[in-house]
Parts: sequence; C-alpha cells; structure tokens
Amino acid sequence: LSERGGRTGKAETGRKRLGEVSNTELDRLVRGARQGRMEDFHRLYEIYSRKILNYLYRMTGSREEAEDLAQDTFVLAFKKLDSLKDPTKFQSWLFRIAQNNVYQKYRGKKPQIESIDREESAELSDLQKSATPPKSPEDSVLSEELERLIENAIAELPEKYRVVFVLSAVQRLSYLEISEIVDRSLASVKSDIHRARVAVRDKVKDYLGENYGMSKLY
Amino acid sequence: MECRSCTEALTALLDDELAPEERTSLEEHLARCPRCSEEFGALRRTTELAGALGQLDPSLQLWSRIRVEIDQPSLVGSWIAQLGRLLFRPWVPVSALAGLLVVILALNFQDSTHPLETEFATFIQERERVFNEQRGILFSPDAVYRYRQSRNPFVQPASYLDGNPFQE
Repeated sequence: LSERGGRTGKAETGRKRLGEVSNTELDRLVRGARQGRMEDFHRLYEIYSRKILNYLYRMTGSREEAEDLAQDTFVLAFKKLDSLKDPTKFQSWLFRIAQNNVYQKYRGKKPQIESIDREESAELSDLQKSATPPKSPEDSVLSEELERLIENAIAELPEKYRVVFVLSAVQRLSYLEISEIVDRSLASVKSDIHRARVAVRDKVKDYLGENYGMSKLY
Repeated sequence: MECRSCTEALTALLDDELAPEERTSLEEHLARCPRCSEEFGALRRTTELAGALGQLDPSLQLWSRIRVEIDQPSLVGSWIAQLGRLLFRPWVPVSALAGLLVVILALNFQDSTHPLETEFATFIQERERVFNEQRGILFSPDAVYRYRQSRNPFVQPASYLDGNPFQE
C-alpha cells in the first residue's frame, strides 16, 4: 500500500522528493531574479518550465496555446516577483499565475486534446522537432490508445475537477500546494481530488477491466 | 473504520496525504475488506496511468520569447507601468484632488443657477436675435441707399413728384 512513499511530509517533502532544488537554493534564485539577475531567473525557468508547460497543455489541449500561456506566465512572474512574500512558495505561486492565465483565456471552455505526437508533427517546425525530443523512455509506457483514453477522460472533467486532478495525479503536487494554487480549503481540495479520480476511473473502467492487473505496464 | 467513511481517504492514501494513525487504520481496513481493496486498486491504477502520460518538453524558442518580452515590454505594458509609477509620485494625488475639487465646485455652481437667471438669459438672447434681424433689414444696402437718396437735397426722388398738386 505504501509503494509511493514520501509525500506524507506535505509540501516540504514533496519538493525534496522532486529532487530539483532545495528551499535555500530556491530562496537564493528568487532573490537574485528579483534583483534582475537573468541567470537566476533562467535557472528557475529550467526547473519549472516543463511542469508549467505540461500543466497548461493538460488544461488547454494544445501545445501552441500551452507555450503561449507559459510565456505569459514566466513574463508575469518575472515582473511580479516583488509580490512573492515567501520565495519557497515560488512553485505554488507560479502555478497560480498559470492557472489565472488559463481562467482568463479559456473560461468555461473544454480543451480539445490532440495527442502529443500528432500535434508535434502537425504544428512544430523542423527546428522545434529537432529541439524537442518526442518523449523520454519512461514517458512512453502507455499505448497510444490508452493515452488517448485517459487524455479524453481528463479533458471531459469539469474544470474545477480537471485542475485538481492534473495538479495531483499528473504533476504530483501536495494537497497543501494545490489548495494554495486554487485558493480553496484543504478539505475541499481533498474532496475534489477524490471525486475527480473516481470520475476518471469510471471513464477508463472498461479498459481497465479488459486489461486487469496492468501487468504489461507495471 | 467503515467502508463509507474510508472512500475519500483511499485517494489521500494513494497520495500519501494521511496522518500515520489514519494510514494504519485504513490499511487494516483494506486488509479485511475486498470491496474497498478493489476500489483502492482501481484508483491506484487510474493515478498511475495519469502519471505515466507523455510529457512535453519546452521548445528552445520559448525561453527566447520570454527573454524578448522581458527585455522589450509591450507598449501597453510600458504605458501601464508608467501610469503606475506616475500615480505613486507625491504631487500627483494632491493635484488630482485639487482638480477634482474644482470640477465639483464648477458642477455645483452650474447646478445652483436660479430658474429666473436662466429665463432672463433666454430673454436677452431672444432680444438680441430680434434686434439683429431688424438691424439686418434697416441697414441692408438697399435701405441705406434709399435713405441717403431721400436726404440728398440735390436729388429729388421720383416719388417726391408723385401726387404733386402743383405739377401739371
């Protein structure tokens, strides 16, 4: 039952589990970026851009729109860094900016999901393709059919549930961080995450039934 | 622990968000409840599948685009920023307040005009209009010419002879 330990310590442990940056380093980078040091802000970008991009991709369903929103998110973050009181909350703060951008642009609109490979071949230039490896080996464990099924199940969730589902199940953020991002109580977030998880489970139930045990994947 | 009360906790257990005592209690329940155990398995598989979805890598151009926008803020952005900076200068709120007071006083002055004043102003305007009309008729070129002709002692207007009882 405890296969994936390490998140009990809430946000703090969650960050350490990701193994990307310590709170001390994060504090230093944020303070440096506030003073206009672009190399520090670039480091922050390197750490968080993939997460933000993928979160936005799951929320919008389009790589192009996700990149546009990611651009807006980082530009706004740089300009508003002074308003971030606690530098160690940078990740939650950044996700919140991204979420606000999504709300502003796509209020009440469901994403039209295209699979990453198809979209890349359709939309990206050769330069982009060469600069963007399609998927890392650990990302390719799902069949195209199953990936499509889950993407559609997530896309069909009501926005309120989609946000918390993506943040918890895909981005693996702690409940505390998610409650900070969506500005709702911990209890409300916990309840919504469960409902979203059950809704997605219902959508993929038939597939799971046929492939019970998932031995080919895990 | 009962099945009904543990439903929501199953997801929290998956996400390692339970306190140690809650976790122990739930694990004990799952060990003896096949139904909840099956539900937990389905939720776990759903979570694992979502976590295994393909991930995008940011394109190389993304950072360049961000850098360009940071270095060269948009015109609107710079206008807003300038406005913001302007508003925080100490003399601006004072000037704005003074201007506002002047506008309020002017509006009050306008509003306090007595109806008789308005009526009198209308009357004066009407008088001026009528006067100008009459003046236009009186001082038209034709009228001036005829006036001058009638006053010239060396010129006898034709009309003067009309009806002269001494003329044959």
